Amino acid sequence: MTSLLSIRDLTKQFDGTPVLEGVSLELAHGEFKVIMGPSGCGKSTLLRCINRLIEPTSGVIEFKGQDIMQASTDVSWLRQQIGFVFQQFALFRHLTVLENVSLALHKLRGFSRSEAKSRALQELAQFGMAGFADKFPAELSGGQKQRVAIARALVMDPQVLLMDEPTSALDPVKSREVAQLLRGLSQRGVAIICVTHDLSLAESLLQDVTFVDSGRIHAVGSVASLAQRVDDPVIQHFFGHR
Amino acid sequence: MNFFEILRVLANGIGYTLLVTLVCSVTALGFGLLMITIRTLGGRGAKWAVDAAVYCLRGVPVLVLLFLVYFGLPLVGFKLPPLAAMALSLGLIAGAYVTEVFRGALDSVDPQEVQAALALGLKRPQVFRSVQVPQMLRFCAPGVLNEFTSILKYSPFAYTVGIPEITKQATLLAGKTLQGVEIYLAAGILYFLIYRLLLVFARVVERRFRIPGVTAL
Repeated sequence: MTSLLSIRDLTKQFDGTPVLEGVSLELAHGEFKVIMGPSGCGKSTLLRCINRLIEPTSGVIEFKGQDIMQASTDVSWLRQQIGFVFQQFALFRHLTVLENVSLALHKLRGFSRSEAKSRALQELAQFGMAGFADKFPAELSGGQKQRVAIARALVMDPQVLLMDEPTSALDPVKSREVAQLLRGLSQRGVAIICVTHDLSLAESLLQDVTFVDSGRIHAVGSVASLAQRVDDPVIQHFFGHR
Repeated sequence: MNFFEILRVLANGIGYTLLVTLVCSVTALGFGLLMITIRTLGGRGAKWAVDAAVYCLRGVPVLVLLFLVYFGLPLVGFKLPPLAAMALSLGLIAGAYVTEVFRGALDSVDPQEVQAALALGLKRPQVFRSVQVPQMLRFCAPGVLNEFTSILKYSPFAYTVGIPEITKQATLLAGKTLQGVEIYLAAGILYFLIYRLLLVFARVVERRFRIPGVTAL
């Protein structure tokens, strides 16, 4: 598989404090990558660096072979290619579900309002949310908000989807539904990087896990194989309660 | 004169009071929006300039600025009509306070929503216009209404530059009839009725633009 996203030796410091130190990873078309690690290990910072919500301190990020750290990079274009689903969903609370999903289509892709809404409605239908089009975010459950947030990101047809702790606000039943949903997205050809510290989600995604600790990639492997590393104190501390 | 005759005479000033209040309120809103836009989208220098302008305007008494604008500007060749002088004094001072109300309301917009809009690819001005301003305008309603009622209560200053609003009518009538107590009581009632009208209008607007499940500040 050719590399869609390539990250090499990425570092990020906040006021001199290192948060990411020499992180490198590759993501191929349609690949599903799960990144795990304890809170504060730099997982979310890594995602935000990828679509330049945060500027890295050093390192290289290439998207489709193009260095996106260059000043000439069209950041708006980049972000349309790399969708982002936030931990708390971050739906626009003054807009209806339909307006949330259609906003960027109308503002960035030149769709008329009605065209954008019609396209957004199709996307919502794929997640079983078409019937909630006129609701406001405050009127939805956590699982429903999650689906709308994913639909909002996917309506722009991104090639990569970044997901930050997708199950942190959901109960175990909804978490399993999200795992199923993510596997479905991956089969649709969208490359996904999913950041989580939810072990059950990582297990149900059936993917190898990249384990990050203190801003570095510490280990890569299945959840089961990582859990068996009894001689690794960092991993044992994280998996210890199992 | 009986009380109802007094009310009838003072009512001649209602139109001017409403006009002064409306013009100064629109000026305050426009100025506030301009200032908060520059403050949010401009660089550090723009933010500093806006904060300095707001700080200075908040420290100047309305009557002092009104006299400076109305009597001072003609000395350098700018003669302004009384209503424009009101807009440039009371309107701008109220605008400085409205800017502060906007700033507080803007802080109530969830920063994650701003990040989410940027992550979709929207540019900073688009995020401001489509995500921050619509919410800011809803959250600021109580504070801005407060400012509008202040403008109403400062509108009698218009009388000092010759606008025949309610207080001007009351002063003229009191000079003729020497029934000062009844006349100023009647003026107070008229101001209170306009205030009530403003409240009703604000409630209608607030209800119309309410976000389900989201309470204002």
